[in-house]
Amino acid sequence: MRASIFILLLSVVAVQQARANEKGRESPWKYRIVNSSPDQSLNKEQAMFDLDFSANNWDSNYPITAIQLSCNGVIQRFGTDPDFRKTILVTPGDYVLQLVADNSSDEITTSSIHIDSGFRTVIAFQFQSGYSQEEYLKPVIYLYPEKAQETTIQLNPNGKFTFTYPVYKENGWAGIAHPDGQFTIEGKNYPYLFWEGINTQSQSKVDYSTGFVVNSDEVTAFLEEKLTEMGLNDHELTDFITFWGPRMVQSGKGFVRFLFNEEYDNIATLAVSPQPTSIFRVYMLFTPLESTIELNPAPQEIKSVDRKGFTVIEWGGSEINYNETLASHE
Amino acid sequence: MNKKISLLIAFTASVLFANAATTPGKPTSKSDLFVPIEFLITSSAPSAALDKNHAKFELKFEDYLLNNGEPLPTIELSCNGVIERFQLDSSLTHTIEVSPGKYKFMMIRTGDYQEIITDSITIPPGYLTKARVNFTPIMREIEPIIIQPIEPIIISYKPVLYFYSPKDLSVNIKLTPNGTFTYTYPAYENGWKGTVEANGGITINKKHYPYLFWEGKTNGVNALVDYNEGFVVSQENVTAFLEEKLTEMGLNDQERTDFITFWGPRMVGSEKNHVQFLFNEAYNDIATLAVTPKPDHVFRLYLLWTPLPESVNLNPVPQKMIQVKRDGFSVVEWGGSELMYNQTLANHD
Repeated sequence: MRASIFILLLSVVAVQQARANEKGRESPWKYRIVNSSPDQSLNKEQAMFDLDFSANNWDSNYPITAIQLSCNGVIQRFGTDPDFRKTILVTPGDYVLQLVADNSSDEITTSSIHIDSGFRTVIAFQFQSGYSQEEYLKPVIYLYPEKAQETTIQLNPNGKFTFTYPVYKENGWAGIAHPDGQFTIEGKNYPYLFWEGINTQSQSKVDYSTGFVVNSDEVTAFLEEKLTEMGLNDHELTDFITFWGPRMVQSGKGFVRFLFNEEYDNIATLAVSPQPTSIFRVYMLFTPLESTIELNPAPQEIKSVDRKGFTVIEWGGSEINYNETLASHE
Repeated sequence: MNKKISLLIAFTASVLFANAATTPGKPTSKSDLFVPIEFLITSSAPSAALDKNHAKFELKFEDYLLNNGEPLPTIELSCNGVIERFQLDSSLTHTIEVSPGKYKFMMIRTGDYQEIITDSITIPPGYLTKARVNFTPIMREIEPIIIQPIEPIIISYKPVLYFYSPKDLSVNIKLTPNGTFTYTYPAYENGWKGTVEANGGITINKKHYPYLFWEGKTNGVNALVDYNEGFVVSQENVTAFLEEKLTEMGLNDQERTDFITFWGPRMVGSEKNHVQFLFNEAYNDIATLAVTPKPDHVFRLYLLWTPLPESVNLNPVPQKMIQVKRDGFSVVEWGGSELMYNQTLANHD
């Protein structure tokens, strides 16, 4: 009896998993122009944006009930449901739309959109739901063997890949690693291996009790200090800072916590053959903070790489929304 | 019912009824049928701080609109008919000490929001009950506001500069974006001044960097695209397309990989794309570059990438690639922008 219930449960889970994967094939786009065509009901001085929210995952735990829209700085609020379309009458020209949905804490800002006289432009928006997914941004892997050698790298993200370069094949990346960090696959050289991924089921739980609060004017100095302490070389450090620096300075302050080595396995597991002498993996969880939020974390202990023998370095990161529930449980 | 009306009249008569009078009444689409979680008990547990004769409600106001920098609202709260009015503070929390028993709340806030009426809630002796409150905006037709266009600003993403010299060389680099910097690394202080190393990279203030990085908000980028020229690239061809073109230009492994790992993940998010490259002089519309001593070769490459709506079909003339030259002291720079599809430009073709 118990066994049958268990099997039933398992099959339910399996079906849900399959559905989630089906859905997960969609790229995590935030907005896109669906159509732009003349509308007879508009005169020459008019144009119209038609906002479509039907692509959203209307999770009943986190329903999007209201949206705040800023169109070139003019703010409107409106309630919405899965079929809701919002139209905005404008004069022809260039517009930037900014949208915030409740229960999402995801803010979407469009690039500058041009709309022509008498045109109706349909734009679809897709908010990230509350705390239920995580994008793994730009993890890169550098390999430094003592001598050129055949090497295979297998990486299993907790979720799925969205982009890999060079292309991750069924059995992983296989090629020749060189002491200067170059990796050769089928006659082509790559300075590092790159992947990005997404976990559409869950998100890393951030522990606000240890880590760092970083103000936007300290971002560069902070990263330089910590990454140097970790023992990253000039190239790794510059690649990290030029990726994360521009993102981090966009928020007035942020919370930073690093995941080292075994902790990184929650994001993705890594298997390298032959076995490296030292593997160092660092993953940054970055949480933008509203100015009103005060966190006083104990400084996190920084681990460092011991570059002995065949060395493999990987770094990556995610931007995670502030989660008040986690903060107050401390 | 009477209570509800009196509460409304007491507090929102001016706001709500005035709205009902001036707006043509009809709620937007079927939004009025969608019921959000307005009041949700998140926890209820004994609290050591409370004795048997007391109990406490802690209400957390969660509406996202509360966190957007606008003045915090005034809330009128009726607890078993006892009315209390308070201005919400930045904690967004309000506590009510009560005797153990049954309570029914009614709440209204300033602005166009629906009233919240709870069921009867029982609170046992010594308990702390926490709840979250989400006010729902009142749906109504918004008077059409004609919004005016603004000067478009586009982000120039991740331009990086690589320097190559057969021998160590002191250099001075001035880069002037047609707009403003948003990030530079190493820090751009009236220029970058350093030594290009024969074995790669550049040293500035005793620190070694493999390349120089900047990002900025630039003006006029929108107008640079020409849909008659370039390429239409589908999602599944992004990597192969970029590899082919960048190899044809003669970018080296490092430059090509840095470019593809930056733009590839972005471009695969769109099913259909228009791609056009700006080379060398054309790059000056984004940013001008002055390097002393004068390099033997400067190669600058800028990507204009436009995700295309499914309905749009473009047939651009394939753009001719220009090649990097690398003997002597040479500089390579690449960057790019994501543009929105522009119907006007397409019509003028």
